[in-house]
Amino acid sequence: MKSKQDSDSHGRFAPSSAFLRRRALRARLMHTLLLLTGTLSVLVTAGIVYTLVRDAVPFFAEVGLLTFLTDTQWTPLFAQPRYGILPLLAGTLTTSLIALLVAIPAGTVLAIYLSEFAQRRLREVVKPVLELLAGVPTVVYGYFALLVVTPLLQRLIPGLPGFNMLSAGLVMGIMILPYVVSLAEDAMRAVPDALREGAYALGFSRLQTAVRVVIPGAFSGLTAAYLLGMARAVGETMVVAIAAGQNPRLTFNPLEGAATITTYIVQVSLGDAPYGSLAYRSIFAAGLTLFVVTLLFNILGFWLRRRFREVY
Amino acid sequence: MKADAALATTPAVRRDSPHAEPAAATRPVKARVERLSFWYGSKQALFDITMPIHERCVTALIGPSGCGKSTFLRCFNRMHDLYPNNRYAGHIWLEPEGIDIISPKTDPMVPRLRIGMVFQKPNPFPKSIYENVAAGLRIRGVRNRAILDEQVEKSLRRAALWDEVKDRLHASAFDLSGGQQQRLCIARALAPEPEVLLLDEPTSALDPIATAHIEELVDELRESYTIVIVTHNMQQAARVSQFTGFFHLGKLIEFGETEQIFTTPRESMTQDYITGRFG
Amino acid sequence: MHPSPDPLPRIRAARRRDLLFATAALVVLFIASLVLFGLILDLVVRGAPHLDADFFTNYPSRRPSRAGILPAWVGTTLVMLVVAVLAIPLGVGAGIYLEEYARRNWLNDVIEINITNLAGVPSIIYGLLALGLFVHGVGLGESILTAGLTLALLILPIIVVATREALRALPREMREGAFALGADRWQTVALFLLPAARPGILTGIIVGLSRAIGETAPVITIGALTFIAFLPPPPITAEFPWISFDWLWSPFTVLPIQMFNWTSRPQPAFHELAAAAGVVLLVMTLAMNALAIYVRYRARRLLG
Repeated sequence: MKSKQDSDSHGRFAPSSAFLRRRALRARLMHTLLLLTGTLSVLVTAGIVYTLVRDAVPFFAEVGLLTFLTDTQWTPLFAQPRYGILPLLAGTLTTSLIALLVAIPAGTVLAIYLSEFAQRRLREVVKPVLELLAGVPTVVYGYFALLVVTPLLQRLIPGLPGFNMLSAGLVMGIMILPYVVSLAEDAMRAVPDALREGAYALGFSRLQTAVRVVIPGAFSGLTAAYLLGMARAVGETMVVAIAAGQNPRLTFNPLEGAATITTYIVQVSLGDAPYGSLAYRSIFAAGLTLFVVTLLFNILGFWLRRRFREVY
Repeated sequence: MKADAALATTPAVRRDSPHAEPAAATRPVKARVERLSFWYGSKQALFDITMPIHERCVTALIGPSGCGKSTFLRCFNRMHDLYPNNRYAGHIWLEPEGIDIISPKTDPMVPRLRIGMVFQKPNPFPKSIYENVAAGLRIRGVRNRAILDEQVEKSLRRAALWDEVKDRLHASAFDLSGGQQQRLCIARALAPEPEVLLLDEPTSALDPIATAHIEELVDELRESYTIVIVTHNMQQAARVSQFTGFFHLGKLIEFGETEQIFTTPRESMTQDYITGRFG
Repeated sequence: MHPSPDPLPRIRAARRRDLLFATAALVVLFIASLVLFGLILDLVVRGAPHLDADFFTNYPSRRPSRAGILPAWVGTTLVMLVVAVLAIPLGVGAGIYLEEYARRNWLNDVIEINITNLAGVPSIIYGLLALGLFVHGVGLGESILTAGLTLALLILPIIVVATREALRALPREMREGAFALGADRWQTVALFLLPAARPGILTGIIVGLSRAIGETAPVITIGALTFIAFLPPPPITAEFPWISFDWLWSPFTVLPIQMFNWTSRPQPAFHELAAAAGVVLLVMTLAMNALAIYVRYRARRLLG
């Protein structure tokens, strides 16, 4: 074997300089293209802010920011229009809070169970099912709220109107439940096992470990999960547009129907508000409000989540 | 920087590692390392290393873990460029042209296209056996099927893997055992016919039988390749190499012919390491 | 076996609470699943009788018995074609850039934070962006192209994040192996990283597309017609050059809009049609999500 004399000429496959030039050119081209696709996302954000502000500014100029923020009536399509965002905010807040009242307790319990109690086998079944449920279109949930849940609720609560915030909020809670469970479970799983082992060594039971060690350890991660769930609920459109009614009403009573910010935008879009009219501009003002509110929740949520990740 | 200017022409002889060119080093030099230093961020990992790499010889780099031998090896194909804040100083001259591999003016592609590398852990691509070996050629723009076939077979034969895989060239590389995967990685490195082959502890993840395979292979490959091998196993260095460099804490303590290093080391530290007193 | 000593009462109480909690959690899980599957079952039971061939080949009609979803599913298909063509290369490209090319500097930090935030922007805001920018600003009108653009932007963050995560999961030894063989960055990406990351990226693409299929709010905002009795011009024509892009500028409707429209009518007969449309929509999106989960599951098993 060793006697085999090799007569290789090294560099037989040394690429030609023409090939290398072509390759370098292609690499530069791809780099530029990829950079452009990366920057596109920034342009999208810039585009969102620009379009919202462009139409919201003339709206505020005409209506007045103070009126917008303090007037208690929202009747832009009336002969004597009033432009106070408070009723829409009330509707948005009420439906979102009902959703969170469902999603936070149920989501937390399920997350604790999945992260601290469940066998791996069960977790491997439940997690994909949760993802699957996250894929159900929101319009389908809207249908559920209006045509299934509301009739059921009407049997329990006589006199409940066909459009009400309770039903919309409940369904929205079920809708964001998979999202909240998923985020909360991630947060709890990120708590290092060493902490759990310490607790077990002290003789804590599973529930005691979860409540005294895991939840405090995952606190900011859990808060982030709730905030991101809240942002989802606030920005959700179809369920409330279909089931919560379209009347802007300054009320926090879940048994009444009331429009949310998103409902209002849908309502105007379905009609034909002429381009450039005050009604047309009002949806951009409403949209800007929604954008700012959800952005605050999201930024806070992502910030907490990132800080939480850095701890472990 | 000042080292660059002062020592570009002066062959360095350092007071703390007095190694003269070994008398038996009749082979021409394939690469000359000259006052090489290296930093990971602000932490200096290599200090002022000067040594030759002889052509068609096996040069072994030994030393306790963390001594910088792998860091040193990875300078030859500019692997450190993949991560931010790494910095080189000094020179590695690649002969015969005398290209300075680590000069910022040298495109890292130049040494990488001429120098092959095999890593500590077998790292085949998640592709077929055939495509793993052909990868280097495809990177160089070779599309001709006949050349690819020929070169894949030749490389696999050289890596002593051909007989085991010739019937399943299109099976996934992950189906192979650890030792086979490492020989596949050697075949992958050989296929583009590099001038120098860098082996970074190629047997550390393998069992003794697979290790023996690879050592035999290295001995055969020496006839056509210049080989630099990092190993933590002194017996392995003694078995396969003609030259040995002993590293400690980022410094080259001693360099010389393998026989001399293992029988009559000049430095007491080398002596201590070889006799197992530390490391 | 030793007869186990009687555990301390406190421990026994704690164990009982554990059991109680586990039971409660399972009850919550059970109720949540029951509610969801009950709702879905209700949808299927109400909608199924309408799911015949006519339903797929008829135009919407004022008479429930004759109404169908032909323009809706054709519209959905064409819009999704635009979405896929735009969102896949842009999303995968941005993901590759951020994971493989971007060094830490202010521009890349901005891009990164920005994509995280975009993922949380409510979909209806994308609708307003499209209304202000595409419909009126650029003058694309209330067209299939506008809807496709809007939904593509909407799902961009999903694809970007999935691409990044798939690339990040690849071992750094793979990159080093490719570079050591002499590959440049693009070759490393194209020849080695992308093929290896394909399952993860594919999962993200499918999840993103299924999200786009079900989106309603932004499409309403750009003014998709809820009642249309015509089809967009066909993409393939009889005369040269046989391919036409006129459909891009056509008014349209999509499945979720059709469902929304029928849900909002007072007559119960339309609610059944809404249920039928809902079943179609649900089957499409759930099938896509199931496929995505399967692709990832299989890839995980293959890679051990």
